[in-house]
Amino acid sequence: MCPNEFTWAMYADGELPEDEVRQVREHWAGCPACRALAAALDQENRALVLALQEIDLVDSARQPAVLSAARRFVVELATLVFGVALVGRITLDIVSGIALPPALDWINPLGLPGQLNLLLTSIVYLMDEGGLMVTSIVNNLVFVAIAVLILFAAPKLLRRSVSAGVLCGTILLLFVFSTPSYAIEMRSGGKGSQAVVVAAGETINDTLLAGGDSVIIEGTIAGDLIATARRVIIRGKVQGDVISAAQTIEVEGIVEGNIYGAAEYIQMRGKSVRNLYGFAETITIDRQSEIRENAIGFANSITIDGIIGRDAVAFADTVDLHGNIASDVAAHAGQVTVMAPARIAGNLVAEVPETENLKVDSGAFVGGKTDLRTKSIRPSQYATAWFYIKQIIWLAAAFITGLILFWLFPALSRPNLDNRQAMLTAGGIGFVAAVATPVAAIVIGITLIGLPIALVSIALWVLGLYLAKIVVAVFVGRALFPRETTSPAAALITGLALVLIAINVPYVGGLINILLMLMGFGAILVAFYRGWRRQGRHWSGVAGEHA
Amino acid sequence: MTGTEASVPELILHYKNSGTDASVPPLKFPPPSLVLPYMVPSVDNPKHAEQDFADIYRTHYRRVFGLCRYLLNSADAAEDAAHEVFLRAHRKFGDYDASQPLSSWVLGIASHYCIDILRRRGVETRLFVLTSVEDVDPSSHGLSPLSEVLAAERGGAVRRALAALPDKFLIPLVLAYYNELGYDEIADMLGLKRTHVATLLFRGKQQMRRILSSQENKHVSE
Repeated sequence: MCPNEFTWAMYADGELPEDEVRQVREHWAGCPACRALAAALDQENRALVLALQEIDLVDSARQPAVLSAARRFVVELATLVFGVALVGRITLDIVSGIALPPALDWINPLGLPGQLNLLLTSIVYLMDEGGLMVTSIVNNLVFVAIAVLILFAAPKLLRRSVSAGVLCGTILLLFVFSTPSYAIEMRSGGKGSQAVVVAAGETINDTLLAGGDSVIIEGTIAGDLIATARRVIIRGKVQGDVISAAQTIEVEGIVEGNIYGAAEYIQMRGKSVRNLYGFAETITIDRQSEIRENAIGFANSITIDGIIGRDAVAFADTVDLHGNIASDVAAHAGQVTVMAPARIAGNLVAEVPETENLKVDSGAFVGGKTDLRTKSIRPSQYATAWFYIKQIIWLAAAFITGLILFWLFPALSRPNLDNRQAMLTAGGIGFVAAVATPVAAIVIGITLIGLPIALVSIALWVLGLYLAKIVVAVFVGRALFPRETTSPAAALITGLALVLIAINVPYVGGLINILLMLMGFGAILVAFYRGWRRQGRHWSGVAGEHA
Repeated sequence: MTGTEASVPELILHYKNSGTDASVPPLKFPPPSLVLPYMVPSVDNPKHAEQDFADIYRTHYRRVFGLCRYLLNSADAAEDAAHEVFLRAHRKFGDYDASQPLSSWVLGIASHYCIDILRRRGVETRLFVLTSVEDVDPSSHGLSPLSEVLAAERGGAVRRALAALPDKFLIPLVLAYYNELGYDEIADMLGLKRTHVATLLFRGKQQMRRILSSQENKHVSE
């Protein structure tokens, strides 16, 4: 009986045990069929070795196998994204279907006021805990930087001459130590009852940066006031602007510049503020208060009893007007009430859900026209021509941006989303980065020394989120056209078109948009991280060129 | 600059120029701070040791890259892995036993590294489990050896077929016919029994034949 093929395969591999080798050799001599099989197997082995060992680095860089795998993963990507979006949307609908009474709406984390509240509470918390931490980190970094500089610079300088070394070292030290003390005064109170107080009669000639449990200004600040605390109270005078994030902001004194306030409560009792930009749960402008120019408020409820020198613009759930407005009022709200002593010299534009949501008291005076706009049921967005024009503009813009992007960073045109793990990793990284970047930027930005870093990182964050979908699109496009002959532009435009359709699918499109954005953002970060790591590995080579 | 410090940048320049083959990326590690502690003690002049290593890199990069690419199935990952492998080889150069061919030693490091990566991808425990259909049944007749296809300078087709194989077949095949390891060495490396390795190789080749012949048919019918 002939030995089976498995035995012959082992024989061809030279792995058959000694005694069996003798047996098969005897058989081999007398069996032409087995001789042919053994020869074929042997030839196959040799051909396999040859085929495997003939490696072309350029050919292998093309990775045809990975691309065909990628096509499979586009289906997986689509399933994953659609599935998660659908489940997410249904969950959201169920959760948000539990209606809260309107008075409690600002607690609901799904509503805008609730999110604002959450954000502010987090910021206040970070200020109490994080502000000091960041300040001390910055301080430590400065010292570390000095130490490193001295460590590295001193031997080099000393080699030239001792006196030059000492001189340079001194200058270096002076330079480093003088930087943090430019025209800014920083004050911070600790936790508990400790408050930052600028007492009456005290004058600060710089911008004041204040953080703590409470910040109370009774004196004068010649520059701007940048304050984050649980309570910020201004009874004195601020000659510049006030930029503040706090739980409550109360202004009883004079602010000559503008107020940019984000808080749970913003209460204006003071005289003479130029412009007020308020983001809050409640904004109150009291009777004795005066805003010289405009008041612009985003809030749950806005009450205006005081005087406004020009326009009042309100985005809110309820708007109550009793005060004196020298020009127009524009209110986008659920309920607008204009009560008796109110006096509006210009027009009143009210955008409310129903006609009865605007109440103008007979004693109130409106100089111009009263324009009541009810929010009519919008026609389906898909039925308007404008919708399609917008999409085409988006497509064209994204296409051009994508071409420029891949020209600048070719690595981004091959994002790593080749398997489920990579997709989930990218999504996770994207989510963390998308959430953490603004928070980190705010924390760093508040120290002001880090403000440029914060602004740059916010700019990069916005840019990254915009480019994210383009990167996902090119992945989809390339996976559908795995052949090298397809031009990258064709792959990009196909991918973009598919992404565009996906993010406009009714019901789940919004969430698909977010998921793709997070995934793409993550893929961009991964690509840059990989590039940076390779760069890092090559850095000595780069250094060698400079040497 | 003169004196001993000067040797570090010079070494780096040396690495840069070592890659005369355009497709082999220039050797650009280790960072200068790491050079000195790693210098091979057996060689008197550290500069010579580095020269030797640059040669090793230049000679073996393609082999290592090829192996990593087969095993990891991605040129990007393979490039990263090849760098890491040479970094490790450089670090362990003192342990190299001159009785063994240098290429086997470097490829051994590379195989271990890639298999570690594959294991970390989380399929380790079930990686080499055979399904009932694939189980040892040597009498079941597969396709006959495709020596003519293989011999017909269709290396590209073979490599594509290889890439389409599941990892459990791909890894032993690459170790056997790229690294040219014996069954026992493969069994050691993968923690399998010798017979298991033989079966995986046998089944892997049969699957390759199936893929290649279906490609061939497609090719003919087109």
